Amino acid sequence: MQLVCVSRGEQERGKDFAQTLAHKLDFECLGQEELADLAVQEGIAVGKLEMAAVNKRHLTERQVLEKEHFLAFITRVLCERVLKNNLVFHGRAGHLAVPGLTHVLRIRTKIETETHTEEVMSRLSLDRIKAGKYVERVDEDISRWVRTMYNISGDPWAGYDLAVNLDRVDVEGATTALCSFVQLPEFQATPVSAKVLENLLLAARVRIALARDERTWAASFSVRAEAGHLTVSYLPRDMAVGVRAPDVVTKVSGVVDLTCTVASSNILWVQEQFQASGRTFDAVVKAATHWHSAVELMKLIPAPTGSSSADATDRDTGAGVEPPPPLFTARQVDGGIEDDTERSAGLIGEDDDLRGMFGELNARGIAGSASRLPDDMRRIRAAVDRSIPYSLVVVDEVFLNHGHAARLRKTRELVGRLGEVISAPVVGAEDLDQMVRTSWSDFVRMIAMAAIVVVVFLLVFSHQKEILEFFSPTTAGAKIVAAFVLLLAVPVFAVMYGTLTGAVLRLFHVE
Amino acid sequence: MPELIFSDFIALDLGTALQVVLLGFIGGVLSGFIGSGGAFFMTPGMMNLGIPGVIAVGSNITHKFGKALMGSRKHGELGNVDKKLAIFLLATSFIGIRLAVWINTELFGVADAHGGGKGAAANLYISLVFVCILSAVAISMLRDIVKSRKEEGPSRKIAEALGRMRLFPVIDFPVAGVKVSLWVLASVGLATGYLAGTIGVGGFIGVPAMIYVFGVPTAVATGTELFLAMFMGAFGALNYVIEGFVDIRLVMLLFLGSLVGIYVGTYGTKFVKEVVIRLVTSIVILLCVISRGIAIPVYLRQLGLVGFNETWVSRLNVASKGMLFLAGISGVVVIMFNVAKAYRRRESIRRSLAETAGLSNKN
Repeated sequence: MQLVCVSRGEQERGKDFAQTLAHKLDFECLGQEELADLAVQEGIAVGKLEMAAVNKRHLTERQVLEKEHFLAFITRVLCERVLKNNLVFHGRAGHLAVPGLTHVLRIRTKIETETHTEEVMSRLSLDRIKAGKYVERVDEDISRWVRTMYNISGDPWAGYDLAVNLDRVDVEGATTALCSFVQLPEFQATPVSAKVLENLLLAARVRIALARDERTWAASFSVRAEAGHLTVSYLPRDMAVGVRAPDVVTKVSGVVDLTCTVASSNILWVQEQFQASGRTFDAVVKAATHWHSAVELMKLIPAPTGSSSADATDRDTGAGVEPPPPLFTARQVDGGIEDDTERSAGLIGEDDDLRGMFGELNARGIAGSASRLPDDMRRIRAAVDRSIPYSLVVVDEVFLNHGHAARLRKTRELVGRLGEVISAPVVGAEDLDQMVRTSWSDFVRMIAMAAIVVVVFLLVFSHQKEILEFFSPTTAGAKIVAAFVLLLAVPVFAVMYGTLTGAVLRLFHVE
Repeated sequence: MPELIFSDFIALDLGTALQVVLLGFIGGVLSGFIGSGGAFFMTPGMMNLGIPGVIAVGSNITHKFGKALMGSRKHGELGNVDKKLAIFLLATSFIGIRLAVWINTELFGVADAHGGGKGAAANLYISLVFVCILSAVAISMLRDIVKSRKEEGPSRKIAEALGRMRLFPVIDFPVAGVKVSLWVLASVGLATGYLAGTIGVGGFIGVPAMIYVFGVPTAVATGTELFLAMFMGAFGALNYVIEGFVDIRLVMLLFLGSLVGIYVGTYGTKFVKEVVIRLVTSIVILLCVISRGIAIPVYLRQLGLVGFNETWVSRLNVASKGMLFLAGISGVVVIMFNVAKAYRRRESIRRSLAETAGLSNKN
């Protein structure tokens, strides 16, 4: 069940590298081209989709559906093969198609532009200038493809475990060295990764079934699976089609139960213990209802007591002094083997508070998905599916078995890490409360702003002639003063009245 | 001809003021719904109320400045603004705005042989640019809708040709993830500025140019355009106020409607499919173009270039105004109808979920 993903662009040498590595490891080998052929057989217009992504076009609604179908197809193929065999996939950023799978070895091969140009010159019989332009264009196209397909906003070539420069080492030497690297515990499959694979596979199968069915193909769906518990969410504008989803989903084998949610975005709520009452719950429900969002629950399972010296220090001292960084963290001493017993990513059904919370959210029509994860930064970061449009991330009480100082530090670190992978505000419970609640002070501020707006209107409309005369300057000095006043007054009025309007409309759930 | 209160500014009674607020609201809804624009409705709407075209454009561009400030703040928080790209576009857009203000100001002073018809030349010029540009925009939007139904994307011929030409120097924009020739940037900036200064509509050129010619992602194109609009609006407002063509009363009345409308329009995008959004927009724009086209003979008559009976002037004015309000109101009704329908359906789903949960709790 090992997976090695080689991002090699269009380089022939990268393809050789992946095939040789697979041969030496006795792994199955799958290339981007073969995957694209399989997708075409599935009925996906891969060529058109590729052209749309590469040619800088924004995707049409139909192409977005095609993209969802294609991504689910890639995930299905990779998961099916990895569950049967060990696999080397070579092509474009295959690891992004299996979010949450932490044992993937992500390799990027590269060769110098000059060498690549020469390769292209001999392969395509082009002169140096044309070959150089071709290489530059192909690299840009691939970056664009990865960005469009996986919603990556930054450098698509970041986030690899290894970069192999095939100009410095030959394929034979590089693959021989990597055979040992692949054996490291970090890249071995565990029961946890098997569960993740099964979840991804089921979600992908369901998404494909929805894309294949003539009743549901025309809507955009987001599908999450957790041990047979399916959560399917669709956009408010797709409601007419989305209501037919249960008929299709329940026919897919492996589906235990189904939750359907209408949502235009997701709110990720990270906490250690969920309670269906209290200020955070009320605030999350209010935000999700107003914003038409689905709430995704991520329950963090704390590390066992005494797993790290730093944590122990914190617990003893209680708070205040930041301890020195530990020599070995829990992650370092486990040799890369993920904890599969006490802190496993388990079933929703096995977890009373998570199940209870999910039920409460479901009753309100805002349930997204629910998952359990160890409180390990790497696992949390890897579990985030970047293709999901998050509108907000709420981090409430986490790292509770740590001392006050360590809890604050770790929470801050978690907020930072989540902020790196999710382009939405990451807030704490108090900030969320302020965002959704209209307090008395808010009312007072609204009334004050409304009063100022009314006074400004009264002043302007009771002195129309004078005001118009002021803004029709004839002398140079008067022109400067009029321009200055206009450039100052207009934005101040716009921001004040705009804020007031937003606050008033929020009271009527228009946000 | 409406009564003047001072210089070329009309007297505003309650009815006219409410119509300006309504124009702002409809423009705001359309603006929030499409992601940019709104001026294509407000500028001709004000002209239909008897406001001289130059003052309508000057007031509208001042209003655009404040509106863009609100919008770009949100987009900035989401990282959708490529400031480097905006700065490059700004440089030439200022030249475009200045050119537009100069032409409009010069034409405003043109009168017929008897000294009458002041402002008619500017009105005619603004209307002609409006009709030509917005007809092209509406037709290309309708063509895109037809093409996307056949699974084809919008034409990329221009972008591909420019890409092949590789006009140096080429500037790299990391936030948007594109490389664009300085000459192409300068041309787009100039065109956007000129149109913003002439008819108050810049986003209709800036956003498609950024998406289709530069290859900028849609969200970044919208965010960058709003950021750009803020400075273009400020520069345009500065130029028009110096010439004495900004009616601050109109700016405030437009804000009154548009800032509410923007929230409503943006809310509507959650419930309406993209193809419907584009269809509604293109039809509304086409109707606005027809409305402006109907008004053109009136300006020709004021300049003494054509002659017809006085009664026809009022008939044409009423027809132009009626067509414009029909376009705007029907667009808003379609949006609100879809929002209400989706809201009702969502509530019924929520009720049935709550009932199911209630039953299972009892069991």
